[in-house]
Amino acid sequence: MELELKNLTKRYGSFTALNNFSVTFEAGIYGILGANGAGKSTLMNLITDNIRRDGGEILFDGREILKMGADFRAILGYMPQQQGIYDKMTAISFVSYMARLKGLKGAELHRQVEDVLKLTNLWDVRHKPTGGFSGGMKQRALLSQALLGDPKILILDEPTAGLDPRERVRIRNFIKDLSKDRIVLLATHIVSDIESIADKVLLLKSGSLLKLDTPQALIDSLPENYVPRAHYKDLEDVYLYYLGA
Amino acid sequence: MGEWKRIFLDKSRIILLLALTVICLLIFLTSLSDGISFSSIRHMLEAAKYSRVLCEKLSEMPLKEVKETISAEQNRIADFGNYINGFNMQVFESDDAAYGTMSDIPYLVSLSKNINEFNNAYGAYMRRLNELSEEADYLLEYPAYLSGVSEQVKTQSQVAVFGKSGGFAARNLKKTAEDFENLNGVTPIFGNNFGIEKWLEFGISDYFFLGILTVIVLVFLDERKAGLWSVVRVCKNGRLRLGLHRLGILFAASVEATVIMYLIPLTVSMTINGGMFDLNRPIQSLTSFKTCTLRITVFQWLIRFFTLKIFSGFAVGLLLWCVLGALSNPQFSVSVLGFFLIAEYLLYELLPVQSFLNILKYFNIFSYIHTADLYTNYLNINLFGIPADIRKLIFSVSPVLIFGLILWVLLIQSKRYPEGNKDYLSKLSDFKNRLLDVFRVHLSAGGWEIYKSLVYEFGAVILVAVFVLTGSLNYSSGGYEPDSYYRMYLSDLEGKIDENTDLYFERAAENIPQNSDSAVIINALTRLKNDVELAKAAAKKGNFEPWLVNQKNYDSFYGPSSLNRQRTNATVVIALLVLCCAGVFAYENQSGVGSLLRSQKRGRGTVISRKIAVCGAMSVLIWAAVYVREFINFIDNFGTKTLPSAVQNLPALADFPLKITLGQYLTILYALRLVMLAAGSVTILTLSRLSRTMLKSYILNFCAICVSALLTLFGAETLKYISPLVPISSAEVLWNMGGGEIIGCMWWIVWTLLAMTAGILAVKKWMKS
Repeated sequence: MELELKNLTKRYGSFTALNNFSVTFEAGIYGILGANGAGKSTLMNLITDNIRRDGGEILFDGREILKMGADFRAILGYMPQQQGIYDKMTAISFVSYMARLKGLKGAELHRQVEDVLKLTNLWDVRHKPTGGFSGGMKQRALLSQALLGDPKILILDEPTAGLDPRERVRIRNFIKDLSKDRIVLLATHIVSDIESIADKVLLLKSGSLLKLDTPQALIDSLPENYVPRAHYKDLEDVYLYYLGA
Repeated sequence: MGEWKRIFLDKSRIILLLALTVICLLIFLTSLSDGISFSSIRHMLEAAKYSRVLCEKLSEMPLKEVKETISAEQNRIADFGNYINGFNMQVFESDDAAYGTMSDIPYLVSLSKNINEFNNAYGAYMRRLNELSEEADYLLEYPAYLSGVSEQVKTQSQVAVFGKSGGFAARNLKKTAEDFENLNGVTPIFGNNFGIEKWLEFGISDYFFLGILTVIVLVFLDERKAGLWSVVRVCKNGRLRLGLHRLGILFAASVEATVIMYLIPLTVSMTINGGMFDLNRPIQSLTSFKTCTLRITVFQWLIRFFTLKIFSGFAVGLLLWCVLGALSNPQFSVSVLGFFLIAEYLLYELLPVQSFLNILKYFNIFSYIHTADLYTNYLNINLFGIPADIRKLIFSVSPVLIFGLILWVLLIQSKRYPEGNKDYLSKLSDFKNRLLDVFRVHLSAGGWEIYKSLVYEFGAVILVAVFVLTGSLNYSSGGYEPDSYYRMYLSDLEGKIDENTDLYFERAAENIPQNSDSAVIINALTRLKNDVELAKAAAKKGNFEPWLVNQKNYDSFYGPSSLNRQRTNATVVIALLVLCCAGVFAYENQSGVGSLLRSQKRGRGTVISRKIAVCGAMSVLIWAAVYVREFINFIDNFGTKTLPSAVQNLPALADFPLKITLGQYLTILYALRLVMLAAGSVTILTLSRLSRTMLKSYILNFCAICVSALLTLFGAETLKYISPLVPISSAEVLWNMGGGEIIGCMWWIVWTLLAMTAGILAVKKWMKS
């Protein structure tokens, strides 16, 4: 299983959000780090075909995803950054509706809906309208729908934002478990999340790929004379060193 | 002052109030005239001017002379109408002689060359005269009515079941007699009642009034909805003082709503219809106040009405505030308010007058809202065996009620905690959701689109309103053949022309009575024979079967004389379509779920195709509510007898390009309307896709689609080329094709192409990134 991005380019007027971006993802968790405007969300929107690209290709196992169309979306789980949700729907209604749009049916639909709601700890509040949910609960509802249909590619934009520490650790561990046979792209500002679960980290700067390596390799890449913030070097130091300026 | 400014100087609320004022006045003008086009409003204004002058003249005459003068005036105008229409050419020697008799009504004369406009204006004049005649009859009969009431009381007292002393019936009879005795010596006087009577008939303002008060009360809950209740509560002036300010605001809002919804329409009505100087007559001079037992003048009643209206509005606002203020969860406020108002309305409308529960009918929001009804309907209710005048009862209890409600809202405002209250409604809501979820989790993608549209976008409420409101639309121009003999013979003869037709004429000629009507009957038969000959000649020439068809019937529903009605109804249809379909995509945009949906396997083609289907279904329902109703109305009035006739049998449709029957003609008309409506819904869907919120979608669609239709309706004819009004109405285009204007079909082609392009754009934009 391989998701290959070749010379991907996206411009908004005169601003280039992604510039000849190329990378190949294989099964595992990829943490995407970058300052605001570095191109993280643009990258995710291009992979989910929510914005038009100006150049390049996205290939899944050698097939262009635009040509795959619904077949590609069938293996895609997407959790957007914005907490866009149907306020008047209850949690179970929302996830069931999304399950329908994923093409799930019958007993399988109900089983998966129950599973993901339990997994995200929303089962007990499944009959509450999502409009009354806290930010963290909305995040979990959005994560629930992304997990439906056993997606091969999981794109998570800020999945742990707004969650309390216990929930964050739980969700993080769950994502880690998921990664065995799928590609998980995880964009977040919470560097510790990436450090603890990502197999590889992408550092994005001004629409270009600055670094792609394991967290430890990136930490090791810091110069020896670099003075860490604490007593040891971690991924936040990597972020500050490469992207902080 | 901050709260006052926040509520009264808020831009959107000012726009809403202005819009409500304009809508209220437009509806009022529509109710006064035969449609809302410039020409119908002008006919109404001219008829009002004429009736003002006539009333001035009549008010100086004795009542019997008033009645005779009105009858003479009715005959004079009817003769002129018959002459101009060519129904009876013997009443005048020449056109000049006819015009000469109408020199005091130059407007009617000026329209005599335009028969459709003439008939519309003529109808407006005749309606006024009929109303004046009814007023004169009422005044002539009023003394007999009063003595009739006491006679009836005496008679009923002698019947054992009513006369049993100590019973409610006996007490009620006694009270009724006493109340009406109070009117001894009151003499209603003839005068110009149009100004007030027309205003009193304008009942919809009561609902607008309630709407304004509801909006203001909902604004009081803003801090709860925004999660700022506790913040406001910890402010120095955030409790009792804020409550007192809000009481003042509510009272001011009631004054404002009274001015907008009642004083302005009354002023407009008085300006148009006159009657400003006839306010010093007894209130019983107005036909609506026949059963009013108060000895007051019209002016005194108006002062009472406005004072009571303001306090009623205040009381209603307080009651709504009590209901909503008691809720901890502001999310339910609109639903609870809706249920409360529906329950109140059902109790008000459905409870029988003498039910033992009638206290719920009269101590009801809608009793307070329909203030005028308390004066125009005399009613004693059974209050523990004692007859109580419902008006007096309501108004005497009101001060206590208002005081109690004020205390209650101040307690809520100052003492109720924002958090930690027992929230029974949340439990109820959870229970409801649990039940609904059993059904919702089984919905298909299409089912979900329907559900969203009906429930989340209020489509169900709008559709119910559509079916209720469209019931009051007019479907015919109301114009009919004034010659009753011609009408009678035509009704007998309508159908296929054969040997029986000649036999009928022979028999009718033999049976002409020798009296004053014989000349009129001969004239009617001659006209009809002429029609038959013309139909035969046309059929021979066009090679179709000759039928005698009453063109006026078809004209009054589908022809030029119903043009204003057709356009008015089409405008209503367009507005309803916007209300039902504008939210279909905007709801997704507003919820911010676009990218989420689009990344699902079936989130593109399936979603948009189901949305288009929902819009199509809405079009069908609106089409059924308005146009199927119109067809049923037509069939109810004129039957199906002539539907098998060739369309060319109607002289106006002689050049219709297709050899079809009238039934097929109507099928094509209604099918075209349905297709055009569906095309309209796709255009609305496209604009909805471009809108970020539902409100913006309603505004965008209203500006893009409704405004041009409204302006066309008001007479801006050039705008009809960019408006969906004509293709959706379709009647005028199809009718004109009967006169050889084949080019008219371009309306449908252009509009369909436009809608298809819009639809393709919407689909493309949703499907492709």
